[in-house]
Amino acid sequence: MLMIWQQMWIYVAENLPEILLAVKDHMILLVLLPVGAAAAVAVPLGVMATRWPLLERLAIPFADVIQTIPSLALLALLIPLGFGIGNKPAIFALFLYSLLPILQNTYTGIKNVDPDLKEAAVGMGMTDFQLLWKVELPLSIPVIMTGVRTATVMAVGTATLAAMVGGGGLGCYIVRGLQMMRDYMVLVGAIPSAVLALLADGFLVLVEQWVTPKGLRLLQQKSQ
Amino acid sequence: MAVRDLNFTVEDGEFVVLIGPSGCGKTTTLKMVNRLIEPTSGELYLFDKPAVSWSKVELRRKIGYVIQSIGLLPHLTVAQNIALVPELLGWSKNKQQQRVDELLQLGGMDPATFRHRYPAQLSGGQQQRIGVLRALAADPELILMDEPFGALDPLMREQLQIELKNIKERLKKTIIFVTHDLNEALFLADRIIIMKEGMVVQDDTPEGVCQSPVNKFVAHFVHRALSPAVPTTIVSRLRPERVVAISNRRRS
Ligand SMILES: Nc1ncnc2c1ncn2[C@@H]1O[C@H](COP(=O)(O)OP(=O)(O)OP(=O)(O)O)[C@@H](O)[C@H]1O
Ligand SMILES: [Mg+2]
Repeated sequence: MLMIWQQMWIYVAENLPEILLAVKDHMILLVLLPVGAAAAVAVPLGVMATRWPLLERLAIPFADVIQTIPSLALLALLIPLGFGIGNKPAIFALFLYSLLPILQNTYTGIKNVDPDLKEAAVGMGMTDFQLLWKVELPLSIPVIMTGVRTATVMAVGTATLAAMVGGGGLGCYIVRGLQMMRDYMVLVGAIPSAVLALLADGFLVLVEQWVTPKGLRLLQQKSQ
Repeated sequence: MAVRDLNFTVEDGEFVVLIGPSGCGKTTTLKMVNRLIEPTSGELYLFDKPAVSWSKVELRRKIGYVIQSIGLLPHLTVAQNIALVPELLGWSKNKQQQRVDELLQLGGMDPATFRHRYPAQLSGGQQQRIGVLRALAADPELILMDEPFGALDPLMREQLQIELKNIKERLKKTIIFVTHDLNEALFLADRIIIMKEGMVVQDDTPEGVCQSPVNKFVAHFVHRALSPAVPTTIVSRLRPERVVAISNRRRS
């Protein structure tokens, strides 16, 4: 048991620059990029779903279906669909996976804004756009951010699969370790990705608090 | 159908109180005035024009509205809440701030203390005050108030009633005020409209309502409001131990 830790540390010490590069690829190429793109698509889509009944009935079931496809199967499916191998199919799959939590939370966040508040706002003469921009979105920020957080934590873990289709990231060490039957090398991929998931989660909790309007935070504290 | 047979006019500068038991259609009536609810039949005139000829948004910005559940926006400060309609109307920041301070003073709240607070940092009574001030902000010709003092203790309630009466006498606003407290109605109203099950039962001055109720329902309503605070049926139901507990005397 002691052996494996020692081996791992030796490996890390000898390959640190390469490992850090893998961490960078993992977090930027396979997490930040797909989750960011998903947020850019899913937030407006979630907003529109609260306005257009047709979209409401299509978008969320669609994202739901994607979510139920096993991640490895989705990755494999994207290869013959023109994405080839490497990071590209992985980025696209992670993008698709991140859509649902963000879409869902944007949609329910807005739908769950206190109807009395909406009525007060409309009754005072807000247009639908003003209602959205000045009331519904600010009040949904915590819920939307929770969706982003869920998507991010999921992506950090799922990104390890990118190596299965020739992509980069920390998954490379897991795949290589399994192929070469070197347990310590598996740990070089597995431990940092678990730690990164926790760090990303903690970081986004802070971001969530930071972007939540102050008055809303005070209200949350009061009702606790 | 929440409202069935409703027929009344409100004159410029009049303080009209809608009153009736829970579920009789008071809130529904107010919401028809600012077109949150459209009547399925009948005619509604606002500011001498058919309601439907107004743009909803424009109309609502001319009408102050205090909703039953207060409805302050929790993410906005007191100042931003009060200046909501002025902001929608595009007033300059300077003018907005002036107006906010003026109104806070009118409502007996120190501007420097309260301007930057959030609704979560206010007591229930202070929130209701801000709700009322918000409705006054853009100097609307007509103000709708749906049980604005509903959730208050009697003392605070009385104080705000007096303040509102002062405000009304100073500002000469047209106000439609909903309550189910006849004492409140008698104190504030120029005219009282008593409703029951979506219909107007009596439309009269406070004196008229008290002195010549049109039917048993109104008579009962008046009798209950004018009799002592605790109805006899409840007094007779209080057991002696209870009375002791309330007056906090030591038990022997
Ligand atoms: N959105 C709605 N759809 C259908 N019926 C409604 C709706 N809102 C209210 N009602 C019904 O309409 C009737 C009148 O409701 P309204 O809210 O106007 O009563 P109210 O006089 O304001 O009562 P309260 O004193 O309890 O506030 C009630 O019977 C209520 O159940
Ligand atoms: Mg009501």
